[in-house]
This record gives sequence, structure tokens and C-alpha cells, in this order.
Amino acid sequence: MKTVKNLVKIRNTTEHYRNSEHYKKGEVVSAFGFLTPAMVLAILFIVLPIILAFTYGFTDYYLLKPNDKQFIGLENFKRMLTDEVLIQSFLNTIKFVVCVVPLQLAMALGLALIINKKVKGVGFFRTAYFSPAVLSLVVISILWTVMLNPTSGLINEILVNIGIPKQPFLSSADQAMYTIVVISAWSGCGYQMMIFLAGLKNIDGSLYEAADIDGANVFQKFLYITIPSLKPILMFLVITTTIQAFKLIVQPMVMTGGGPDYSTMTILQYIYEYGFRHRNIGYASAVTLVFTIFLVFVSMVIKKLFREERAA
Amino acid sequence: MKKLFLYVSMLVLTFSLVACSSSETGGSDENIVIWTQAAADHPEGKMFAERVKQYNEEHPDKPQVEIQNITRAGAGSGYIDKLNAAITANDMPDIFTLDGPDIAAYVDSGLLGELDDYMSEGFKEGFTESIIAQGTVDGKFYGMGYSDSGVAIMYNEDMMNALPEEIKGLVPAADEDWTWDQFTELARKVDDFAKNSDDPAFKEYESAVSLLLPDITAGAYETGTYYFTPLLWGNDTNIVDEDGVTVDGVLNSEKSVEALTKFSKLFEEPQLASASESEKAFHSGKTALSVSGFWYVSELTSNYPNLKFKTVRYPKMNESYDGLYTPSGSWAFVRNGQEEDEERIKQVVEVMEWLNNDEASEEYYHANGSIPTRVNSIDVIDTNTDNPYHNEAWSVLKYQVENTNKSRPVSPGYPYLSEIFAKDVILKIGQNKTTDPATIKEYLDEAVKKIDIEFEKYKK
Repeated sequence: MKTVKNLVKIRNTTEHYRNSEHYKKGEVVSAFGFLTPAMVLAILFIVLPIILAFTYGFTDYYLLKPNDKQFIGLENFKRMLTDEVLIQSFLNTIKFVVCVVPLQLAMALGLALIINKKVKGVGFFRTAYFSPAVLSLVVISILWTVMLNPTSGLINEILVNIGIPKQPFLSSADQAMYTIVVISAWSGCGYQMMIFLAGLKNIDGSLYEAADIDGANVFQKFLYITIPSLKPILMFLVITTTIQAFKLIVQPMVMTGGGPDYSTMTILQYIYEYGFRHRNIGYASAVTLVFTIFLVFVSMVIKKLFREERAA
Repeated sequence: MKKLFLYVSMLVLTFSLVACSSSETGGSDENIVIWTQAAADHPEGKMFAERVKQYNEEHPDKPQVEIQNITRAGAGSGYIDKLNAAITANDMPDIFTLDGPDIAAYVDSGLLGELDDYMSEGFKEGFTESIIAQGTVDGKFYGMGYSDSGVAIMYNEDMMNALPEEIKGLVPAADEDWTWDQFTELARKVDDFAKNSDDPAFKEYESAVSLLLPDITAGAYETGTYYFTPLLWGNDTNIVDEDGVTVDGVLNSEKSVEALTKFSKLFEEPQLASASESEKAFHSGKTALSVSGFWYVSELTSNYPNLKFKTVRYPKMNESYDGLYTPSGSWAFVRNGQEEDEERIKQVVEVMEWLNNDEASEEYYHANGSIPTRVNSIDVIDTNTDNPYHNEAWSVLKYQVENTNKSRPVSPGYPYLSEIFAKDVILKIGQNKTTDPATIKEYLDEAVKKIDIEFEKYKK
């Protein structure tokens, strides 16, 4: 197995070397020339609004009084510390992320491994598993709401038929968030599956052949060849899936309205409701600012962890 | 070649910037612009378009009226987003529509202009009492409600006919008042019978009462508040004081606890209503009774012709209460309060009167089934059609419009007030099946606490 590990290391090193090639000066100038129009537009319509939004966090901006904004320092941030709904929303979001990221990625990788087999009909299953990824989250949410109805939903009818009592699912403060976790993992794993599948197909078959010669079993091959080879993709997916998970809003908004008893209220839904429904732009902007900083911190931590693992 | 690309890129950027700025150019400043949330192809949108067309034809010498339809999305977000953007840009239209309870917030922000000084003599008094109340803030009139609404109780006639005589005797006549206790008693007996009956009328039976609580879960908080604030009204209390910002001692008063405790009996096991009822439960024969908005009438007669529905009045919480207590109100026309030209304001109000006079009110009923807001137009409600179920329903609604309809609370923070009451009180009682007064009091106290924090900015 030592030989296999060394081969993987050499491959990764080679890729790193290729990425560090320097460009000619003229090419750099041309590249920036072409990028300038897009950069200007991005600054005007993305960067500047973001800066404005963050500055609103220090004001009492009320949507119906745009010309009457007053600087109030850190008042909005102080309010956050005692805002029970906000705190619960944050904890709900953390709970969702901690549950859905490993579940979704495990499902995606598992499906990718299955579909990677060269057997008849694999194309159908690839399409079937990917389908939820192209459906609107609103549509998915409504469908699952109907299926999960505690009285007449399809899921409960199935449970009753196998001897399990009807479950409240979305109507229970204890079950609702976990129900949303499962639904979200199901709807999102198809996208990650395709990325994993692409990664699997790029793994050099000779590595597995060498492992076979060394007498490695299926689990060992998975652990020492598949996972290390997929590490760049895995890192990318962990980061993107985590950030995406923190942005949970559609499913609880459509399925539960943030309830029961705020058990599924998420940060983004909270921001939307306070900022637009209740017109508290200032406070919502402050929450957005803090949440953005938190997301940046999370991204940095994840990257650092992966970098340390790679170094080891 | 490189220079060519550079020039093209600069040109594209320039066009992009120009396109952004040019899109801000509106119509003629002389035209009176109306924004409405009704879709152009919806009966409501069509009736406005027709009304505007008539005005323009009959007043060619006056500024022409231009109506723009901005379709609602979800909970009204499309239209409201557009309106919010216009407010931010100081570019509001001359006339626009708002849901009645939202008027106070816009007045509080200085966005709406009062109408009293510009309306024709006696025009305001032509509206029903509840519609005047809906549009009045701090004693001044700001919103001309073009449509009223109503909620009543409906029941499945086939199910009721299958009941034994002693239970059928509990069903009130269409012209008879009854109380929430009586409603609950009837529901309980119906439920007990239905669960043991093999009558085909109960084949699809799910629960006794449909309350539309799932709509609250889906974010339509106002439906919950609209349907159930009358529980408090009928017990001589409310969700907020008349000042529009005081909730402590009102929302959590003893009378409120009493009213909501009676309401909670519906969720006592075996429960009579569910926070997770099936969609269109009453329509599809799954419930015997239903708290039904006026729109059910056309919905049922058009799409569920086999369902025989009967209609009775909204239950009164306290038998001795003799004030107004039934749900009412809807969208209204308001004017831009930032307009300072007196002559133009007069013209704008003249258009608003055209859109809300007796004739218009009658037209809206015929075109869209809108309940008339003008006293002189209420008789246009047709209670003598070929459909006896339609006739009875509209007789009940007409009675309520004329006698018991009460406007929703006037409060600058109404959206938040509505959400908290619907979600943290009504829905929570249903989902948790809470029936004891002490816990309901806790729910109300917690709601008061949240609302007080939010309402701090409105207190002067």
C-alpha cells in the first residue's frame, strides 16, 4: 500500500506544479482589459450594494422611511444578544448544517459509487437521482408537505401499513427540522453525486490495479485510493454544501413557516421576515453582517482543516 | 483586433449603464398613474381597467388615467417589493392599492395623503361603517376600500341530514345568532357521530371543523388573524388597543384568555380540528363544518357543484355582546401623500371617487363578486339566483356587512402584530393542542413581550 500512497502523492504534487505556471505580462494586461467591464458592473451592482447593506446595520433604517435613517451605533447588535427568536434561528441553522452536510455528501458519494459501475440501465438511475436537483425547491417542498401530512399523507399511509403509528413530521417541533434535513439531503444530493461521479471517473485505474496486486480489499481501496483522490472535490463540496446549507430558507418557509414554535426558523428566513415583511432594514442588515462574518469564518476554518489534513 | 474588443467592451458597458438609467423614465407627468396588485387578466384587474377606460372617455379634457397591474407573488411580495422600491426612490404613483390594515403604517411614515379635505360632500359617509374605520387613522380618512369581505360558518348539508334529530336541532338557522360554545358543542356531537357512522356522507370524513390553519404555516399569517381576531372582538376585547400600539393588558387580558380558551376546545382530544388539515378539506367532504371566507361561495358553486353547503353566521363569543364582531375589510385605494400640488390632488381624489362610487361598487360585485363597500350598493348582492346555497350564503354575508362587520385594528405595526397573533397564539394553540387557560396566558404574555419590543419605534 505504500507504493499506492506514494503514487497518489506524486499525482497531487504534479497538479500543484502545473497550476503555478506564470503567465506572460502581455497576457495579464489583456486579461484584465477584458475583465474590466464585468468588474465595473460587479462593483456597481454587487459590491457597492453589499457595502451599503452593511452600513445600514448601524442605522434604524425603516423601509417606509428611507429618508429618515439615523445612525444608532451598535444598538442593533446589542439587540441581537437578547433576541430569543434570532438565537433560536441561529441554533436551528447550525443543527440543520451539522445534520444535512454529512448526510447529503454521504448519500451523494454512495450513489456516485453505485452509478459508477458499468452496468446496463445506469444512465436511467443517474438521471433519476439527479432529477430532484433541477426541480424548484418550492415544488419539492409542496410535494413533500402533501406526502408528509400526518392525517392523510402517503408516507404515513405506508408507515401504518408496516405497523408504525402515524408520525406528525412537520407538525412536531421535535421532528420538523429533521424532516427538513432528510428532504433537503434528498433534493440536493443529486448535484453532488454528479460531481463525485466526475471525480471518480478521473481516478487512474492503475492505482486500483496496483492495490489489487498488493492484496487490498474493497474498503482499503476506498479508504486509501478513492477518498484521497477525491479530496480536492470533497473539500470543494464540503465548503459549497456547508455554505449552501447555511442559506436554508425555502423549505422551512414553504413547509413550516418557521414553526412549529420556531423550531425550523432559520437565519435567512429571519432576515427576510424582519427585513421585508416587517420593514426593519436596519436590524436585518445588522444580522446579515454578523451572519456573513460568521460564514467567512466557517469557510476559513474548513479550508484550514483541509489544508492541515493535506499537509499531514 | 485587441483594440476592437476593448472598444466593444466599453460600448457594452455604456449601453448597460444607459439602459439602467433609461428604465427609470416613467410615463407622462400629466397622466394620473394607478398601481394595483390585481393581475391584468384577473377579473379584478379587468374591472379596474374598464373603470379607468370609462373615466378617460368621459373626461377627455382632464388628465388621463393610466393603470398599471403589478401581480402579487406569494404573500403579496411582488407588488409590495415594487412599492417599496418606489418609496425608496421617491417615485410612488399617484394612486395605489393597499390592504386595509397596512394603511396605518404608510400614514405613520408620511407616505399617504388624507382625503377629507378633497372628497365631495357626503362621499365618505356613503361607505359602510367598517370601511370608514378601516381607512381612518388618527381621525383622518386615508383609504377608500373598494371591496369588503366576510367570513361565515358553512356546513355540509349531506352530513347534517345524516345526523339524528337531536343533533340537527343544534344547527342554527341562517338568520339566527349563535355562540362559539354552541358551535363547539355541535362540532363535538357531529364528530362523535361521524366516527361511528357508516353513512356514505361521512365516507371521506377527517375532522369536524376546517379552520385553514395550514395557511398560517405557509406564511399567510393574515388569514389566521383575519379569521380569528373576531374571537376576541366577540368577547369585547382585541389584539391591540385603540391607540394602535398598546398590547399589554389588551391582547393578554382576561377576556382574551377566556375567548381563546373557548376556541381551544376544538383541539381537545379527540380533537375536532387540526393544524394539519388536508387542503380543501371542506370542499372535498372531509369536514362537516368550516370557517369560510366569502370567496368560498364562488369557489364551491363553480368547482364543487356536488357539494351541498349551507351557511350560517359567524359565532359570537359572548352571547350578551352587542357590538361589531364579524371579519371584514380588504384592499383600498390610497393616494401619494408626497404630492403637494393642490389642483392635482383634487384631480387624483376625483379619480379615486370614480373608482369607489356607488356605480363602481356595483360593477365590482358583478365583475368579481366583490362585496360592495358603499351603503347604497349593498342591495346589489344577489340573493335570488337559481342556486339556493348561493342565495343563503350571500344572505348571511349581506347581513353581516350591514350589521356586524368590524374593521381590523388600525396599527402602524400591523404586519408584525398579525404574524405574532396568528403564529404564536392561534397556530400554536392548534399545533400544541393547548387547552388550559394558564398556558394560553403564557402564549399571550410572550406574544405581548415580542410585540412591545417591535412597537417601541412607533410610540411617540
